[in-house]
Amino acid sequence: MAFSLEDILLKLSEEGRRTIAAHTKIPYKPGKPLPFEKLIARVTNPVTLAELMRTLSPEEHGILSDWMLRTREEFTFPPLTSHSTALKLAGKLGVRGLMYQVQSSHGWLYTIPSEVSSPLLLALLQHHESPATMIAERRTPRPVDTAPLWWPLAHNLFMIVSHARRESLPLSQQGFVYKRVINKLILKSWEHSTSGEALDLVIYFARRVGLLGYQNNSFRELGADIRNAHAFWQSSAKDLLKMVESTLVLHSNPTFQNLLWTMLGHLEPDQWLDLDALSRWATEEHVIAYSSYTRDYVINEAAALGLVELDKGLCRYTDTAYWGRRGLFEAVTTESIVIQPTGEVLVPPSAPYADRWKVDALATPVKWDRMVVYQIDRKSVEAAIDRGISIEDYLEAWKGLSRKGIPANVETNIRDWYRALTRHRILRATVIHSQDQTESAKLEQILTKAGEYQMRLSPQDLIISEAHLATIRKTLERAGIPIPQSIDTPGTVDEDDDMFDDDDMFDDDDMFDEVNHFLSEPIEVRPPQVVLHAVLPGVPLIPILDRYTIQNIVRESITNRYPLTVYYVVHPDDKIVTHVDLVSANIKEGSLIGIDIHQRAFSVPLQHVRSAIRRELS
Amino acid sequence: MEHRPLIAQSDLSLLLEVDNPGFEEARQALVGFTELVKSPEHIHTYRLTALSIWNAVAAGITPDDMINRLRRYSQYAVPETASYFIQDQGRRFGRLQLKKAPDSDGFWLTGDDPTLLTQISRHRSVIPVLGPPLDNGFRIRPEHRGLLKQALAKAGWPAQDLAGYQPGRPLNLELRDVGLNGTNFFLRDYQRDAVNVFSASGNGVVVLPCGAGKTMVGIGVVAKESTWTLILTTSVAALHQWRHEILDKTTLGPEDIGEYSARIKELRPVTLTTYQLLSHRKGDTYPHFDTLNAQDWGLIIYDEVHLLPAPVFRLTASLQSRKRLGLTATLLREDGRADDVFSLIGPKRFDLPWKDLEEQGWIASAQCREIRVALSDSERDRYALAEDADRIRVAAENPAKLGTIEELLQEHRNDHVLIIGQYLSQLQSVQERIQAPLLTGQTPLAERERLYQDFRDGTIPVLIVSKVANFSIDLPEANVAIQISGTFGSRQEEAQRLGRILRPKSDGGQATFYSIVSAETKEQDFAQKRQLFLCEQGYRYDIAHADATGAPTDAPQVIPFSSYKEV
Repeated sequence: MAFSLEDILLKLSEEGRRTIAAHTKIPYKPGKPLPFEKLIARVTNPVTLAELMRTLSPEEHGILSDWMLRTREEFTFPPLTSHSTALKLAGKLGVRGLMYQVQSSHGWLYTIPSEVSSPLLLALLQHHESPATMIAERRTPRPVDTAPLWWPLAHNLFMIVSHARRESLPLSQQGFVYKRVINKLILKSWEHSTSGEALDLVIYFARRVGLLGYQNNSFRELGADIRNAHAFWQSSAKDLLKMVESTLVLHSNPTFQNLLWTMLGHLEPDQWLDLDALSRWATEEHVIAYSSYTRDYVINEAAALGLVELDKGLCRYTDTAYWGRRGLFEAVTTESIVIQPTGEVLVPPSAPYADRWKVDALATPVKWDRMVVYQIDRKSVEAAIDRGISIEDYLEAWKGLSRKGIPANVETNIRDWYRALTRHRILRATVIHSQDQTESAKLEQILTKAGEYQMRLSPQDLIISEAHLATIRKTLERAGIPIPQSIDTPGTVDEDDDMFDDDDMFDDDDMFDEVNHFLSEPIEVRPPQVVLHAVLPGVPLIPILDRYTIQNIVRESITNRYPLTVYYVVHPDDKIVTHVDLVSANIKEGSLIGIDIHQRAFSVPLQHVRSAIRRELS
Repeated sequence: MEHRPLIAQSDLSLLLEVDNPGFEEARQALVGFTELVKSPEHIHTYRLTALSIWNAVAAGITPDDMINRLRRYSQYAVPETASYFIQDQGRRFGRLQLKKAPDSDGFWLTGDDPTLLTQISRHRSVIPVLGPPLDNGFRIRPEHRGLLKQALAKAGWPAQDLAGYQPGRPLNLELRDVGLNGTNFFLRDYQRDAVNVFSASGNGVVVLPCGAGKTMVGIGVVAKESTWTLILTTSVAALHQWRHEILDKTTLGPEDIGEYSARIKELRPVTLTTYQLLSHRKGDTYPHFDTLNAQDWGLIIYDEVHLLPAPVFRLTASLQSRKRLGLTATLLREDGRADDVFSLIGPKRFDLPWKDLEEQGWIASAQCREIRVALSDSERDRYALAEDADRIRVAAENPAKLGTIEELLQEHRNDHVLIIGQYLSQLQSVQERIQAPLLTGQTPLAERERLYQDFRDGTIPVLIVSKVANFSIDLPEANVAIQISGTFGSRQEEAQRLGRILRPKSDGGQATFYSIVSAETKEQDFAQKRQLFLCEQGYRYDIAHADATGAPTDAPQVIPFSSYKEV
């Protein structure tokens, strides 16, 4: 794996910092890491690098060429012989912050960090005047001078995560997303024509950056990962492009890809790279692991991702990649979303990714295109209610996103749907039904004393925690009130049928046939793995959308009987969160209720809960 | 960077931002090769269709020009799919031509691409209407002209019809400057534009909002073409209105205008009939159609073309040698036969957003309001237990609506109110409660016309009407409509009913359209769908609630919207 300068600087020795700081004239405070941004700008300065190239001997040039083009592919090199020219060259590069010695599982290695390798390679090539031989004569002006925010890969990535938020991406036995599902995604992809292979790459990327999780033989946008997703979509377009480059383009054969990427980045806006000339040069220079197959594979993959454009043996960055790598993206327009009186929500290409993600949680997508169209309808309101979003928060969120506010009729519809959908809820509960109310009162008395009482449903019915059923039986048995082992489940349907109804994966008959074989095998249910980044006391509050996560975690906890730690605020405006460890919990009438580890009853409105994490069973 | 107003989508829709300074210029650039789909207040939607591009090519706009116009106003690169579609469809029009046969025996389908002619001749829907081979093409029987054009358009290779039209018997008439009642008359600019656009092609549909004077466009076309004309209408009442307008606005006299109805059978230079009569069948023949078809008409006008019944489609296929004008406010066919209107009557030639005309004062401004009335407990029980097919009716006939109607009538006691409903029993209940006259399909014609006239004169301030008054009835003074039930989710019906009150008011006042629905029922869901077309035209619905007695429940009181303030 390639080493990152950012990581290296954090672990650099005091002496190393001092030496580099002195040589590069970077202000340095003893005991502190070197400032990454300043250092990277200083050491990759083209003028400084060109000057360095002039000072190197022909032998050193040969060695550097070997390192950059013909040795191991991750710019890491084995220990160098003492007093050798190579060691001297390493020293020259080292004091300039271009090369480092690092300890890995293979022992000590020399490395050129990933952020530095491309500028250094370009300086080397320019010194030998190589780029000129690879640039085609043809020039084609670019029609625009900024990169669009909403470009094919951003569109496809967002669309796939949005899809997975609502419907899982089931996997075949070979571990691929079913072709049928890929075909569905193609219809929603950029210009409805992205190839299945390119979408597979995007799914891979979404997995790598934590936007998709694996659950029950499928990929889906897990509730517990919503926080990750929320943080991810705060990224700028430039950050996204960088992540895509490092994850998808520069991942498997960095020597050639680095060469290609360096050369494409060197082109003027209207220039093209001559791929045949590049091939000839790479062959003559014996670039490691280079072959025409590698070239075609790398280039076609980059083209499928919308990063390069090809034309008769010529290649160059697309507008997005060219201007985007220079940080020249079109300006983000906040509050640019338009809600039409028909309930349609239009999300323009210049909308921030974070706003898109919020809209995606609040409405139903209906059209994926340059202007993405959502619909506020009963279904989207129902989904918001399921996520624990209150009517006030729902409307407030739209007001914060919309350029023109919410049309009055749409707001009335939202309020009516909320009113209609929140009047009744279907709850699953474990109930002790007694023959008469005197018997039931007796149970209540005993269970209250034992700390196992939850709430009364009717004069003859008590709701108890299913997690504590065994303890309750024991307590009552001791009190001389035996209860039969069997549990009546009036009104429930056959479990298999239920499974089909609940699982949106089986949304059509064909799909059901295809995945039917999974159902005969036990399905492993894993609780969501929550990484608690932002819920420590004192840190800013988590956005409202995370209530969905919270509800999911609580529900998982109820189903699997895991204890919970719940983070909440006492007053809605509080900035400091408090926590409580619960041994049982439930959600009822908009509140999270439960019993804490000291057997005390606990209740807090769901709106006050900021996060929850399951505890391991001891 | 300059912020341009247009976003071209890869599904061939074009979104135009109204607030952008370049909006008007871009809109003008799009007219001619796109179709306006909807025009709500912030972003208008246009669409590229095969038809819009064929029309544009026919009008001399090249595909490259269309693409350049898109590029000029697009904020982002024009999708490849859009450019390709324009080029592909643009090259299709005119490759096949329909001409008079060289030997004057029928027509001749020809073209300069023998491969295409062969390809077309093997198309399943074209084969039945193709005659024997003729030099570089095929002979076409006159009765197959319309069907061939329909089949070719569906196959994606529209024929350029160069065979011309039957001129019809000439008719001398002029438009009057002053109507018979002494008021000045002139065609408004947009009406004149519509007349000219139609006359340039000789067939097609003019789409204008209710109250915008479609009849005047029809009369303008008759005057411009100066030929014998057959006018098809939806009802005898509408027929009489046409007759009245022609007499009022042209130099034609009563002797020039014929009524061909169940009661009277007159054939005159301008003859008015109904769709119902035209499609009347006796055995295998259509006697009235045959009689009318035997006349030498140069022009046929289809009023409310969105209502054209299926038999008339078939009959129309044989009328291709005559100029054909369709008039409608809503080119929406809930039966999905809009394509047939294109093939047999012609493409949409002229269209104007409703709000544009409202801004110019040619139609009244209107407030649309939906009132959601609760069902009482017993009605809720009835609704819950009714069969699916009956539930909509239970909701529609919610007795609580009567209370709301009374509230509204109290508020609008000085207005001219139409109460429009679907179910006779419900309308009769309303009549019993408020003691206003009721007009239905069962009302004799003379009585109907008397009621309409009394309403126009102001003698009757409130008129209860069934769906017979959905279309074609000119009641200029009506300024309030209360819709108490309707045909499921019909967008077209909603728009037509609003149209009853859109004629500009003599006092410049605005119109108010109420739709009363039962809350939390299927009827409320249908109302959402019904309102779609009007919302897309830029109308907004205010929504209020009433309890199971029909009394307002919102605070501040919004029924009868006395607290409403114009923003």
